[in-house]
Amino acid sequence: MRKKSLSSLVLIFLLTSSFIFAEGKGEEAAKAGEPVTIELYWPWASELNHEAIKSIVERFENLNPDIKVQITLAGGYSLYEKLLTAYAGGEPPDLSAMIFTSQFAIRGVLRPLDDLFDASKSIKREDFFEASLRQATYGGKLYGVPCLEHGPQLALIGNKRLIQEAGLNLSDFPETWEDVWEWNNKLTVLDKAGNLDIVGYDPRSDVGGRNYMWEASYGIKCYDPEKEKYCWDDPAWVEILQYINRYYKKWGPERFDAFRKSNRDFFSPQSSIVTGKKALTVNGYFSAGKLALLVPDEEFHYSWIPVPESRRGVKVANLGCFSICIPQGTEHPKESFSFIEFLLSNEVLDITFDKCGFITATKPYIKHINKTRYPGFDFFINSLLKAAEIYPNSAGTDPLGKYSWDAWIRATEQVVFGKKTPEEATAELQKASMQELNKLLSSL
Amino acid sequence: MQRLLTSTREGAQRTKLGWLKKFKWRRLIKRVILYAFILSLSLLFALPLLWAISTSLKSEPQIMVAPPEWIPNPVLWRNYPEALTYVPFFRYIINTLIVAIPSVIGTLISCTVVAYGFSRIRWKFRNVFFFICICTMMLPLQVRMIPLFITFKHLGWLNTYLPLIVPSFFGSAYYIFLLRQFFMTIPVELSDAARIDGCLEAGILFRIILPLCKPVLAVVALFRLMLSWNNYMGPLIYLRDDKLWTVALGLTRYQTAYAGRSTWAYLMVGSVIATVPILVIFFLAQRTFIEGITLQGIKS
Amino acid sequence: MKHKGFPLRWTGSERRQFLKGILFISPWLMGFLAFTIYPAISSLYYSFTRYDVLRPPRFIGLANYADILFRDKLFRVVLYNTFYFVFLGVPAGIITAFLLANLLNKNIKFRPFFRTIFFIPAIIPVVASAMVWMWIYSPQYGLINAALARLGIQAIPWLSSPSLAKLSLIIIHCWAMGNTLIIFLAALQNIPSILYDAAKIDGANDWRQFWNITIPICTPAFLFTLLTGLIYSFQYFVFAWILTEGGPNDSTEFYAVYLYRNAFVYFKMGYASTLAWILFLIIVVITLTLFRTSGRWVHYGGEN
Repeated sequence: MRKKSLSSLVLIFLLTSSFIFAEGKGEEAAKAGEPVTIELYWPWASELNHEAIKSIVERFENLNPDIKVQITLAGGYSLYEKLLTAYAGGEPPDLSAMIFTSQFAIRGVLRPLDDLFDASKSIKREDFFEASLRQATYGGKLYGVPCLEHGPQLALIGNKRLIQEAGLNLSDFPETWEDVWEWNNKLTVLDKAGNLDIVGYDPRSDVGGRNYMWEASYGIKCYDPEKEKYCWDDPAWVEILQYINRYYKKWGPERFDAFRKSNRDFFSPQSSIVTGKKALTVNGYFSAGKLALLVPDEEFHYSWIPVPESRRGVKVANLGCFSICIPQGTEHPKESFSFIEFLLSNEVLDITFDKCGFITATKPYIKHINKTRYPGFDFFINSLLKAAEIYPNSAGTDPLGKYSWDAWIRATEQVVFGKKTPEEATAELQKASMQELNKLLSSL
Repeated sequence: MQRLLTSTREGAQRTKLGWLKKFKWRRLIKRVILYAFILSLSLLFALPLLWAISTSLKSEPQIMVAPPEWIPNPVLWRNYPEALTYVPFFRYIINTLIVAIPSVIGTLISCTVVAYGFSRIRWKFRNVFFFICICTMMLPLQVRMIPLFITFKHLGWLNTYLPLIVPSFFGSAYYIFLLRQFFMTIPVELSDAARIDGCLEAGILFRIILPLCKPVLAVVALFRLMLSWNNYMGPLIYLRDDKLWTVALGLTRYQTAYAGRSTWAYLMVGSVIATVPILVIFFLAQRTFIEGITLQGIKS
Repeated sequence: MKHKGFPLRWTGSERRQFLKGILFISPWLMGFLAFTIYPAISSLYYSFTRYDVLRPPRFIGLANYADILFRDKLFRVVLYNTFYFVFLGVPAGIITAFLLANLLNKNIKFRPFFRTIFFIPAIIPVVASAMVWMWIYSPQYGLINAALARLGIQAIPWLSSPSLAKLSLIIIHCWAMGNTLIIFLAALQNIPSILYDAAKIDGANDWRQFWNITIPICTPAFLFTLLTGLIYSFQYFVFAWILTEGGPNDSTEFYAVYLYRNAFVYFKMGYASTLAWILFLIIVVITLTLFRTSGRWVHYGGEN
């Protein structure tokens, strides 16, 4: 009896494994005849985005029969798990899109791209906004090419209906944070149970809650790449926390959090700006398309993000998100780079815009793009031409990567829940960030 | 019985008819309360499925309405065919079954044998080994993931289903522990009697223990099936080719990034389609494992 | 355990039994050697290193342990949150599941249907459950607060309040106990109806039957659900990550959430491994204690 069960165990084992091996092998054999295969980690698993990249790859392979592109789908945080395990296994993908370039670059695992970039015939440095390239630069070297989804992220968006209902005038649209505060007080509506029903402005939601928005608005930094140090000790951060806390003191942190959870953040359904529950928000170019598609009957006003009183009238924009990087030591950097070049041609950028709604704001492309595709979209494109200051997305320049986002969120929460004063919170933030940074630098 | 007697005593003074009325009345109230309780509870438990079904039939703008609405208006049945052709979802279901079926078989075979060794045979250091076995559940996967990935890479198993299937043939602490607990409840006398009759240990396992443990075996099979069904991290890391993806990964293909068209309804179609097969299996199989065999007459 | 010497002073039958035992557990033993030992040892080694996965680990001795135990302020918060969740959530979850199992074991109409319904939370993709709970807990539109408003009670910020968020997650945890529920249902089937009949004749009421028959016979299942519940609750992750992301104000930053952030967001795999091994030690101590005491309260029909 025991022998029987053992042998059946072995049999089943062999059967299943042979079945699976057979499938795997068939594919290997098909690959053997191909010249060069490069692998791309595509950061979105969604089918819409997949369709786009599939058709792009098809075109590319037709033009370059000697190169084959293998698309590996991964999305969100999963991208990092997949990427890190691939690095640990010694086989990182030839091309991967990432936001936090410096977090990788500082560890020396990315290939500097300056040589390939300068030798390129189809893309030139002048084609990019300086801020875009700065996001992908670490220690003076370029480690990524802005690509896939890399656009202007800042505008103050107002719901025209709610503004009218509150008796406010679009001609007085807020320009400074004090203006926003005043508007907020007139726009915010509580329901009978005391919940926030309509919020004027929530300084911790959407892109408006991110540290890089405050950097652009105040003209400050949280990390200075030249000096290799954090700047959370800049008094402006205390001022910002005090400003945020004003809102939370007035309505209570729990009410705000509950409002956010009832209405969700912009990136999920029932976002308050979509449902008409929030009058003002700061968000990126992608909101124009999303709002136009989801709430076609509602009208929105798009304008420059608020600045502090001392900078009244300064028009600021921000640019950034993904860059494509090539790991150190891959076999086919040239072929990989040629695919990046292809991704940046206007024709291909049009496909990504059409199918995914993503843009890559290179100078030639914003001349070419259909600015009127969605109401408000033109504001974002024009902002890149009219802004006095364009800031990079500091996520790319910060060697601690998402650590700083989390630390910033933690600091603001400690302040709004009354656990720390703004001064204590920023001091703590500075100390902890510098400690982390020094540990990282000492390990190099 | 007891209650019946007391109520008879209470009702002794009244007419026979009055007693009957009172008795039924009490019983009825009890039943009504019981059913009302169960019904309201089951509503709470069915909510996510109802939500998923409702959302899966809505138009995208209706999904965005606050406060959320429960009744889809209009009812978009076409979301179903659209969503299921939009990504190759049936392919993912078949892939999942290709992973799940051998895994279930492997788990059943290996875990019963091992659990038998941990419960029905007395040997020295049994508890030490058993505790080591339990310990394997205690180290979080997140820190084991990378070395495990490297192991499978050296075996040349990446981009195949082997890393998802083979380990199940070597037992898993959770199921071993569960089976052990149930094996332990079977009287020793049964095995002893069989041993005296000259039965081998394997014979005892297959002829005596397993037939008595069908309910828990079915539970193990169900849990293992669910594990393959819901496993996200494993397929994500080991599979490169999206044609090999399983249901849990496949669902992510309905999650759109922030720009362009939103496909929340499709995601809910996927969730409903992913849930229903397991629910049906559960509904059909529960006769085996819940209404299953009891040890009547053996114990006492 | 008369003869302690291994294996020289064993009798022939002891040696035979030992080999027999090893033979039966050999599948697990092989798997342990092939797929468990190497990852475990590696992560133990990483815990003494600075390791970001991208570059080879560098040995730094006990620095990670010292950092976590003496300098990491967040670690204390995380530890508190985790113990709070485990010590409240595990018993609450088991009791809920056990009571529900008894309810579903009653002689009711459409029993298979109800049992299936109660199993839904355990199998539906987490996105759907997360959306539903987000709605249930919403102070503005939610189910609970709508009911409270009828009674004239002010809206409660379930997930939004640092003092309530953990409790809210524990309620979800109790609701999603489908697996435990099934195990108890299976265990309840093991009770011979003769026992109840005998008890009825002895004049025991429902409550006494429940207390003297049902619970003792289910103790092996209790031990199982308690231990595995502890082990998995110490590694609780999903809803804390999706619904609250560790907030508000770090009140739901649980052990596994913090560990995950360190490993895959901050690229501190060495630090995360240290966290993992500290957690491992905590769980081992608690489980070992439970195992030691289990002889007193777990009744196996088989042995003894």
